[in-house]
Amino acid sequence: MDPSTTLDISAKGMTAQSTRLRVIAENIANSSTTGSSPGADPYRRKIVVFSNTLDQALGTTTVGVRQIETDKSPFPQRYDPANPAADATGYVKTPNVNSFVEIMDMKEAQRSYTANLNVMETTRGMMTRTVDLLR
Amino acid sequence: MPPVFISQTMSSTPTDVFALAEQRLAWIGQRQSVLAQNIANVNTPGYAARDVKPFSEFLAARTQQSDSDYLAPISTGVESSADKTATGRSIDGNAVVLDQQLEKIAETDTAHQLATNLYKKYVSLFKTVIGRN
Repeated sequence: MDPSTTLDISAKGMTAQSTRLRVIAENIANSSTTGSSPGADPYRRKIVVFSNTLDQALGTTTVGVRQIETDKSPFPQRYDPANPAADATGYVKTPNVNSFVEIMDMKEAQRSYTANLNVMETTRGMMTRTVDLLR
Repeated sequence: MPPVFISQTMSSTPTDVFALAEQRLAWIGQRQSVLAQNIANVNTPGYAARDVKPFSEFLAARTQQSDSDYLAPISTGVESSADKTATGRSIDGNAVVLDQQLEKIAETDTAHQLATNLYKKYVSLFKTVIGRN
């Protein structure tokens, strides 16, 4: 297979991981976004789902973001009657974002991104060496 | 009859260094591609790591083809299959062990380095013979 196809596969992997990082950033940025009206739902955590799909142009399967789903887990509640989003009993729903989970997810995304980058560097080295055969 | 670019002694024997290096580099390219896919899919739910057939099997499949098949797609004989050495499966069904895959990448890199260096050395032998070294 063409080495540039290998580079494309790694590039797609990196794109997928950076989309994941973007969603993690969104989750962390919204980790205290409550609803605007009394009893309204706050920010719901988002999750990126990857899938391995056939790329017609490349003629091989590549990774991509299938969809960005939402975390179905229930919202934690906090007693804060002064908050504009508090319901009749004085409780405010807070986002179901756990910063520890997000940080771990971020580390994993970073690690996967680096792995793809390493593959890219190795492939590029191979291409350079092959071209050097002409010298 | 297709034009013959390489002499018979240089093309048909499996011990010929140029032909062997070509096959080896083709196999390495395929393997690198499959490994890159594994690493790109390191977080894809349900994805299991794949690997190509060993080089010996690939070479056997390639040399069985007749001389007129030399333009056959380079991918012939390197169908990838599920990697049986993969250990462990995460909770989302993903069976790619990152360090194992990276180790294979390093292995492929070394193999490529070896193949290209041997090729270069062999070329320099020819250069010595024709007095251009």
